[in-house]
Amino acid sequence: MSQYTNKVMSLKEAVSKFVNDGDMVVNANFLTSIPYAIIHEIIRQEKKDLTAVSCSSIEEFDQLLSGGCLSKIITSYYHRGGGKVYKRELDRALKDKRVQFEDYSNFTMMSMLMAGAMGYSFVPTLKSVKESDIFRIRTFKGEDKIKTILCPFTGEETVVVPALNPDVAIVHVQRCDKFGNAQFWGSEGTVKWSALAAKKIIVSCEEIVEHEKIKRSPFLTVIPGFRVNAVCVEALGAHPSPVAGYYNHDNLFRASFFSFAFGQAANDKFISEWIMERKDRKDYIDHYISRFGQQPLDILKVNEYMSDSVNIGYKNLYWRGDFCDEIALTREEYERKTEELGELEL
Amino acid sequence: MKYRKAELLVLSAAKEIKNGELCVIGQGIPMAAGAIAKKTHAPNATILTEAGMVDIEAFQNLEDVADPGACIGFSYSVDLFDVFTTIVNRGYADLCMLGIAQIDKFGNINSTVIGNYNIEKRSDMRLSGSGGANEFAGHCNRTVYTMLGGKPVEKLDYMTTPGWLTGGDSRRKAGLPGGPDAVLTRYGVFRFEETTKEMYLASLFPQTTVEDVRTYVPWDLKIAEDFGKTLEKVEPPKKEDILFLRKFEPMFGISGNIGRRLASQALPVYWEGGRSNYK
Repeated sequence: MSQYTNKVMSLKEAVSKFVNDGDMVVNANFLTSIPYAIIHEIIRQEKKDLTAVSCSSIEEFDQLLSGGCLSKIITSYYHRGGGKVYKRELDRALKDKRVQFEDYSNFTMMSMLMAGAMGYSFVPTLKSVKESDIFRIRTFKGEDKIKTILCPFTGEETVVVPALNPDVAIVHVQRCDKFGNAQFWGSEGTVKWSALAAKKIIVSCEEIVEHEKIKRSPFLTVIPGFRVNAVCVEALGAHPSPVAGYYNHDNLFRASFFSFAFGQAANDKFISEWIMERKDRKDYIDHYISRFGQQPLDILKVNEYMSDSVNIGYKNLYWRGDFCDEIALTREEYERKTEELGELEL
Repeated sequence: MKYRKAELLVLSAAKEIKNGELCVIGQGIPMAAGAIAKKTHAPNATILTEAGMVDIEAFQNLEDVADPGACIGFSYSVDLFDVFTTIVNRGYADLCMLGIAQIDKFGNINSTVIGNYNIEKRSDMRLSGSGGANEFAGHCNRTVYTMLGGKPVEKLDYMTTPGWLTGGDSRRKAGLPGGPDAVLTRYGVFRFEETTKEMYLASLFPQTTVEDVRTYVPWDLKIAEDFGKTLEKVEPPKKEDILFLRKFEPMFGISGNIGRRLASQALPVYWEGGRSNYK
């Protein structure tokens, strides 16, 4: 992917082009800014047999399971709301053997993605995991889940995890230019390493900004344009999860999802009303407004607390008008020198 | 108008960068070549430096690979570790362009020491060392070298950076991707034969002869014709490109040594404010 290709496209196009049945898909966002718009499009396009990967997930995997998209899950945290009497799609899917689950810890997950992002085949990780059933109990990853090796320098036993390179990363960020330079801030979580580990990257963003704006704050770029395959503009694309600087948790909506999710029929109703029957994210937001009014969305808007801008500066060191500081010659003197010293004739 | 071989070297090096490519540039000549490529035939090339400035568009030559003052912003700021792992090791760097001091027949590079490593004779001299060269040339998809002051040798005094190793498939057997593609010198451009990986003269600069090159290279040099190829003649540069280069980096027009001498001679004047236009 060239840095300078315009990658802006609809989410419909991006998902149909870059997510295939059987793919391993990593949700690069960590608890916040969950790429719901992309996830709902994957469900609408009825992608099958996906392996879902994340470090920490909230309700997004429940929805993917409800859509029949997943056959495997590799994660370290799967948010469970509602207390022990309530069962969600994950519980039903595990009971019906519709999905296989491999457990890691956040750090081992992250280590695998980081190794993948760096192009290493494995990396060492922290020791404590070896003393747990995370190390001992293995499902579909089997032998290759986690291993130990002897450190060639200290001779100490070292826990290592293999690199993970998902087929596609999905990620929601605040802003992006049309080339795919994606800027994200707030809590950085796993975004950078999870996205960079993947072979293809779909970025959805709250807004598209000029390339010039990106260049003024290159430190905010978490994914460079040359790695990105699709840029999709999806305002409120992470609702009901929060996006720093834009909107907060919509906990009332999340609570309503939980209450629907406990029963199979109600869960199906939620999935069809909020995902399958919606054309796209805009339609989802319109539907939200028609159901609940504009006010709940307005309440989500966060207050302004602007980041300080810094001078990254530049300086013309050589030519100051007709004088070159570097060699202390005027332009005329310099031209005489080049004529005198030139070895070749034009 | 007169121009220098060094200037032709820089302008020829720029042509090695194709439009849309992602190119890692090293210190000195490659930086100028990268900027000229972007200004001329490769506006969509992505130029990055080892220090983690990705997608720069420099308006003057960078002092070093960590000089944000030579460009007005850039797209992606990372650190050196990210550059070598997430970009180079993952195979996203189409090419790297590096300045070198000593090269052998198979494109292996010395940038560590001239003469004895333990510095015993007066002629022995420490060079800068690897810097980023070892892994850039070792892992980028293609390597282009620029050699202004240095020279080809039968045997390197120190092997800093792997090229095609002992030729043939030895680099692949060592598990390394990529490999040297071109070496730009004051005489012309050398490339590497596809099977043997031996360096040969591929194109000749204006007002330069094959005999000039043979005295420069210590081994029995092969030229393009020996491999059934045509020895290209490098076109003289465009005047506007020379002028752009002189604005971008005036040193190449007069040589670095002379430039530095001029600067140091001017220093007391500079302090006294003797130059009227120095206010």
